[in-house]
Amino acid sequence: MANLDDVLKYLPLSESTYYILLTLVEPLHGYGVMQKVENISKGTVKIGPGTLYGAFQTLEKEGLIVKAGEEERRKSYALTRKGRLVLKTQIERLEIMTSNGLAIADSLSHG
Amino acid sequence: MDTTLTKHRWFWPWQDEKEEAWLEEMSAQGWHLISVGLPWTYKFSLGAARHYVYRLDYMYMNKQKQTDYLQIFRDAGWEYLGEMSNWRYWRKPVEAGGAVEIYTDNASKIKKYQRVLLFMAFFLLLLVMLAINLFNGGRSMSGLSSVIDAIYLFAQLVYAIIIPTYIVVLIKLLLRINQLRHQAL
Repeated sequence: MANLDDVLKYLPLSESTYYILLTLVEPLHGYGVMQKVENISKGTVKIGPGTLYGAFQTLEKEGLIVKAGEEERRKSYALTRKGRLVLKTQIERLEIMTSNGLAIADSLSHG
Repeated sequence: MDTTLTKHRWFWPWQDEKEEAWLEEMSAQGWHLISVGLPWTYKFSLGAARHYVYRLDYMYMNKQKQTDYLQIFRDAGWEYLGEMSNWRYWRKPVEAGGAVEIYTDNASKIKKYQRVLLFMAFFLLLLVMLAINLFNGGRSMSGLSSVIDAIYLFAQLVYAIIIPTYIVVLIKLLLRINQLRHQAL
């Protein structure tokens, strides 16, 4: 099992990496990742193929994702245990960030 | 009227975006890139003017990885036009929609230039090592023939141009990377 330092060294994830990992909670190939990220982020995040290819390489090397299958020359990837742990820790942090932001959000519009 | 066009064009590794803009402009005039290859040769064919975006990637890899690489780009709607000195030429019609960038964040764009930098630094090291061998070990043979002396002099001249050029390229690339870094908050 990955220890805490192993997880923390990846945080904070970039917006692209965060969304890529989110989509890989179930096995998915590159094209699926690009579409799904654009969809669930309501168009705020688009992943270009160069960025995605590089992310797949790095995330696989770091053991956060693993090849889950291949069909018609398209590889699919999925989160490893370590990847799940990293993502979970990131989400917890984002929750704190969001609640802090929301707590003062009202005062921003008055200033 | 001739419907194909061949152009020779050189660019420095930090000027890839200028190259992309030039290819886009060519397409706007109806000249669409069909292939690239050494020595810095671009082939175009004439057709209806079209709004394409061109993007240059820098990537070296084995065959298996190349299959994955090409597939991801093609699935995203990009057309592969070929490779030249590790530069990979991609294009996409703008009206197809979706991202017109192959790198959608700064971190991955920086990595592209770092790959160029690494490759060039490796080459520079090789050149320097070769020069040390050539001009130290070989020098003891000089005086035997004026032809050999002339060859050495020529090689030294070539090195005197190539090595400083490489150093300039490396510095320019570092500056480009630094510029991209500062765009991030």
